[in-house]
Amino acid sequence: MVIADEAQLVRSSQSGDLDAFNTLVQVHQRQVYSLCLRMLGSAAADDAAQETFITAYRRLSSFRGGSFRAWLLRIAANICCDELRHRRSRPAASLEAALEAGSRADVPSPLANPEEETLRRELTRHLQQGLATLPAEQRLAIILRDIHGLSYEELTEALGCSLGTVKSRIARGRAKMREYLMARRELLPRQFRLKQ
Amino acid sequence: MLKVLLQLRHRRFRRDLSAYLDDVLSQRARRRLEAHLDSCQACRQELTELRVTVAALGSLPMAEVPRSFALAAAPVAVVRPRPTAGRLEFGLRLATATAAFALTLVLIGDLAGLPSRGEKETPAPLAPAVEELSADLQAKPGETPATMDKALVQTPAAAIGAAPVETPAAEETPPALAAAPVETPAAEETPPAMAVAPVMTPEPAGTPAPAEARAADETPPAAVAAPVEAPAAEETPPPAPAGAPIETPEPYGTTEPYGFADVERQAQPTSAGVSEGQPPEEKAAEGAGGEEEVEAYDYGAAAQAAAEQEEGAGLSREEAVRWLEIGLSAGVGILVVVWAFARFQRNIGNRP
Repeated sequence: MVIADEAQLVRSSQSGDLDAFNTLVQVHQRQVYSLCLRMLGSAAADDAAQETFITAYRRLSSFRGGSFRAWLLRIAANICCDELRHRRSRPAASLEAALEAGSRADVPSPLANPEEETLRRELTRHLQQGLATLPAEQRLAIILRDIHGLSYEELTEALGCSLGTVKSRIARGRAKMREYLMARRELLPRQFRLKQ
Repeated sequence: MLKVLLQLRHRRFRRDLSAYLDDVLSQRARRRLEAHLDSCQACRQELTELRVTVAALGSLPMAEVPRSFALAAAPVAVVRPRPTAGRLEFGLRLATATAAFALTLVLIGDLAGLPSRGEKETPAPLAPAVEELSADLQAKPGETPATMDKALVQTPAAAIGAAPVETPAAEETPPALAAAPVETPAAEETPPAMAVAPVMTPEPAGTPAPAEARAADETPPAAVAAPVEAPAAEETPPPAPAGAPIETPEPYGTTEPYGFADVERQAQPTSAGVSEGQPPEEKAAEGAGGEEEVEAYDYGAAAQAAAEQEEGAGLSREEAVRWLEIGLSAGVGILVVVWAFARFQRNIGNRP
């Protein structure tokens, strides 16, 4: 939808137009924030998202075309990975704890009836916990692929690695998620249960 | 055996399942996998489970943003280079300058030592002469640079002697190096170097006969004064002045301002010196002159000089440094060429 304007907006931003940049922020902030939320939990997601946009503004000149979303998500991904590395040096704050605390990660959908809502929450919680068990690079890959729906081409940009690496990270991440979920299949909502 | 092979095949197909779901397998790989799926119940099961997993992940909603992340104002503070990087760069520059200076000295020394007799001169015996000369200089600072030519012929000796005294100082005065460019904004700034020479020249001129004689005795190369020698003469003046400030403080009690004033005074003599000299050597002299300045400035007036520069010339500090570096490298390069040429000539001459 915005693709045609996006190139124009990026060019304006690169020449210092803050309003144009803020329009881009409005378009992409949900994705950026979601990625930060899934990677870091709600406590740190806010700061990480803000830092992403500040960094992006400063580095606008280094954007050389391609998918702006992928470029932005790559900045966010780097910031998240830095934060995770930083956390590893402070073992007190573990990711799981952050994700548990960050139950805001699941968003209530207004249309669902109470029962569905409960099930959906349950699933979300499992998925979040499952994601938290993955190595950061695999988590990043499957979040961007399966939640954000990036194409493989965009993924190579956003992850900064080759197509082969992207495929293998996604394959391994999904395999682990499959094991995690299948070990708890009785807890899953009906539509995700398999016929034995 | 066959079982193991089948197992390996199976494992490879399992790895492809994820790509198969996303339809990013090559035609051939996909056909092979599909054929395998027909015969492998485990893989079919796994594929179904993977589908469920991906669907479950896909059902996770995008989070609502808690607030707008639009920037209120353009972030101003650009990431600054780390202080260590600056220090490293400075260190490297200093090292380069020192190396260039050392090379200059070695080449000059070699040029001076070229004479056919092949006698090796050690700088040590020259040192006393230098001290004497500088002392004389201090005693008669008022002398005019009328006897420039003479001075130029003799200074090499002083320069060589002063060299060892000089280098340690150069290494120990990082702040000075930073300050130096301030004084010498552009390549044309050669003046400092040349100017210094005139200031110094009175020294040999004014010195009593014995000193002069001694210097002459000890420096046959200078006396030979072949065209090749001239460059050496041109280049050496700069080291000399620095030698003077270093030595003077003790006997005369003169302080920093003196050395500084010396450098400042250059203004008029400069033009004379420049107009007189040969172009290429001038450059080399300038290079060395840059280092000279460093010495002079270490004596405390650096800040003041910096302030002066800021107000005066329109050139920025960085530009000044760059030009100085260009000048220095050009000078050293030319010196190397001259040296090589001299060597070559000498060899040709010796052969028959």
